[in-house]
Amino acid sequence: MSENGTDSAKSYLSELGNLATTVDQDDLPGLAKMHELFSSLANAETGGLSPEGLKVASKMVATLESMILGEIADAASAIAGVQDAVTTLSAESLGAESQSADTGTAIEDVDSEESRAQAANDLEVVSEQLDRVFDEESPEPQVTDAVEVQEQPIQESVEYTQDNEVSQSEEPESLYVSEPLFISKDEIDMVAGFVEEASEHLDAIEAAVLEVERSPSDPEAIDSLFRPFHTIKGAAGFLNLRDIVGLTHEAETLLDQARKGTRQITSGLIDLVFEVVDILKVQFAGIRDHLANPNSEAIPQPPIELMIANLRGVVAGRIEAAGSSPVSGDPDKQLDQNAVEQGSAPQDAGNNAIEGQSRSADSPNVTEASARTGVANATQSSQGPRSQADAKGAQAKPGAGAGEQSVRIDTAKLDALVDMVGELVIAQTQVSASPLVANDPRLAKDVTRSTKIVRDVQDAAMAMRMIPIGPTFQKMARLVRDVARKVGKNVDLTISGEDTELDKNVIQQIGDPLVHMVRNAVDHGIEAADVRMEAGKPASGNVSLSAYHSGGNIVIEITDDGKGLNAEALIRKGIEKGIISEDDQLTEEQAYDLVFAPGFSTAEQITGVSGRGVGMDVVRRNIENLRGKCEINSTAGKGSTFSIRLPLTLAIIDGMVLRVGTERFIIQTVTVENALRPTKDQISSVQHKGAVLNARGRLIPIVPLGPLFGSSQHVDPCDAIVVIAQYEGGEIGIVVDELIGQQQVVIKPLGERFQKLRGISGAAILGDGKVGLILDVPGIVAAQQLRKPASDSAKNGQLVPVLAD
Amino acid sequence: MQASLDSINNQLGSNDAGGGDTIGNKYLTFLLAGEDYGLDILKVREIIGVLDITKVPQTSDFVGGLINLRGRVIPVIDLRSRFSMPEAEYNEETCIIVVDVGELIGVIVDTVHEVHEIPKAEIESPPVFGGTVDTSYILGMGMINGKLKILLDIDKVLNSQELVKDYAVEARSVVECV
Repeated sequence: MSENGTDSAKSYLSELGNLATTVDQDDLPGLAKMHELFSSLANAETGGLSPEGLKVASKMVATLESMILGEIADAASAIAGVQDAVTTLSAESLGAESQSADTGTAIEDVDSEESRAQAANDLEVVSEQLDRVFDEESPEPQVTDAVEVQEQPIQESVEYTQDNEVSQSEEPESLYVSEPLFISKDEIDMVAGFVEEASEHLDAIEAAVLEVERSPSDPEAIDSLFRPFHTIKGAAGFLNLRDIVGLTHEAETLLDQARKGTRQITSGLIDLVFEVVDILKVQFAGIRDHLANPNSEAIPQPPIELMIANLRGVVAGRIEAAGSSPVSGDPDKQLDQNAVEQGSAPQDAGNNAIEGQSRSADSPNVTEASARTGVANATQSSQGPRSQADAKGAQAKPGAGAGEQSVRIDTAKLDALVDMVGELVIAQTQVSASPLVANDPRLAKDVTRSTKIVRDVQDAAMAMRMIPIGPTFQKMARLVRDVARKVGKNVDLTISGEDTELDKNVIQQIGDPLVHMVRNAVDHGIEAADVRMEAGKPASGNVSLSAYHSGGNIVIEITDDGKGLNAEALIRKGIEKGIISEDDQLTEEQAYDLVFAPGFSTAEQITGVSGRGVGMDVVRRNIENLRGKCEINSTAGKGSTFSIRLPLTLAIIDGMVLRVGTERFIIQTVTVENALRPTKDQISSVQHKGAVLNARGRLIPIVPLGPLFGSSQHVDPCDAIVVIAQYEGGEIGIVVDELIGQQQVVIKPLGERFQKLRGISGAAILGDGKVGLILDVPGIVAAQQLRKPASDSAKNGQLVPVLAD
Repeated sequence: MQASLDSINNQLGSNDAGGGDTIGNKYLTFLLAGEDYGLDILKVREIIGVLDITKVPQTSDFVGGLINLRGRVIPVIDLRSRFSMPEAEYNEETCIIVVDVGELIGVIVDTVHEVHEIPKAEIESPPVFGGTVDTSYILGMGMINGKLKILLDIDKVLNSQELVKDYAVEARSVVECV
């Protein structure tokens, strides 16, 4: 018994003593604190307690846990028991301090030797009683009066328990009974915070599960799986979310067994954990819906009861976790195992007690539903940058928040800040451009300094919105695992550049496209194991996700080492589907681009996973909405790389300022290919209705912006500038009067009233404080096409027939 | 001019703070093509002089365009042209009344007078003109010192007509005119 141990045990006990006198059954924080203190005491390494003391302390941990979970009927006497235990332990601890009677004399009149003996005796009694109670009431420990036995005959206490809990003790395996879930009005904010935080913990759990699967013998990995569950349980306890507490509690018990080495980590166990996560996700989604739309009805709950029953069964060893073969880190072995699992359909697998119960008979929709929410959540749930760090760093403390190092801020506030800082930068630019400044060296110096500070403020404000892409990537790990198992392949996921930071909005919106592309890579890209072997590749495929900075952009790459894209097959398919004609001479790149065409599917067989041909076009649209670009590189037989190039942030764009008449417009620099002043022979008019520009052999339709936007002024393109802009499916030349220059601008949405505007996507404040309109190239093309029918009958309509390039 | 704007803007501030029982009784009065109008002061955010207005294509004729209100981009409506009155050049008397009708919109008027309290009892319902005048956006008629003020339901004025014209129809009509 180390000196340190005794000291810390003493300080725990004195704190416990204080708490024990004030705590009551409704004081959840107090109970939680006591729970934590007893946990520390019960930890043998802390020292300071005799073996009997340790036993009592761990019993107290269980008792308090039951109290927090609300499983104890007679909480008042339980508290009395806890208070007794504290006194007893304090006495023992004092006794242990040998003869130094002048230190802390809680029990003044007792000779220390005697008190020690007495304490030891008491401890035994308490311990015995606790044992008895737990034996009787397992799996739901009911402490009730049992701990008060120091004053009561044992017999009486047992009778009491039986009286109260007859049905319980007769049916020890009775189902956990779920209660309808209501959230009171005053708790809405807290519950909302809890759900958000807990969702992050779920993300951490998913990431940790996969880590455990990879290295099942690493106790730290199991620990990082255990902790988020514990945190969720603690926080849910405070909010009286009983079902969530119950479920996480059972999951925790199961993991605890794994942590202690009494249970092997099997793929069944991992599936079980995933199922718990899925149920929690469904529950959280339900709560979220309720919070967004509060009504007095109970919140729909997923079948938590069943899951709890299953978990209890598994914990007690009555049910075998499905897929009982132990997980090993060896990929080859894993492959074999996967093959076995694929071969036997889950329905007829004899040992799939768990899966059978929760998946087929009673709740066929649950896993389906939860799988769907899982995917939806990939984009929905906000992923704080810390979710990973949290999981590792958070103390296993009930109700421990996100840590004091960070503050949660409403994104609207952050957006407003970024917006204002943007304006500040512009205002500052105006000041520094003033002639007054130029003529006054001292003022100029001051302005330069404040300009620098304003830039720093801008950087800082922008940095606040940036979060690392890591958690998004980690979600893909689960996806790869699920999809690979479903299609019977073995696929590893390699992740790099997790620390690369992107704007929160970009991260939220990139989830869906990523899910799609990763799923495609696993389903279509990677070949079946035997095909791979024949091609001389390792049997297990590899999909890698990476993110890096490249010239003011972020590039995300999804690379697979599969069969690659077959340009010829793509072209054949394109012709078949009528997307291209037989005469089209497509380069390889253009052929690859066909996968983004609506209604194009490359899989020869449509699987349940992917291949319905809806998707890649949506993926491209999503990415373009983020003002990004998508490129494909592929080598037949070696694999493919899909690169997504994204801007760092959505709030600010690099723009080119154009003048048309008296108005100025902004076009995004990324869409501009080049700008030129055409010569007469480069322009050909088509039926006097429109014109095309011949730019190095490519024929590009041109649109004079003025007439398109209602000005009657006729512009000769040869006296003007043609800005060649790219859009999905082509190029267009926009005729403007002048190029004014480049400028970064903060995008201001125009609001609903202007949503119908065509060719204009927003506004921005220009350097002189005036408002400029931001051009939307696809919108200009669409507007142009709307003019088509009428212009056919008109003499000098500005329409240009759309040409394929 | 600037001084009177400031004093009215100050009143706007005090109104926000006070509120209470005078709700709906105070009106900001302004001049439009020789007629006196008033609008509920609680709808008014602030009054500014005319500043640079950026025209927006495809919008109705009464939409002046967009202005930069200290970093916010808001639309402005020319009230004369909304009521089909003859157009007038903007001068230094011209004001933009920024009103809050769910979102901020600027309303261009000839000049702003002052804030008046008009008891509910002294407001009469709008007269019936038959088909010639649309009175649906008139709250009522108020008398101040023997002068008649037309009290506008500014929400109806600003929300009853779309700001953006249907482009397909528009494009065709433009071409047909040519």
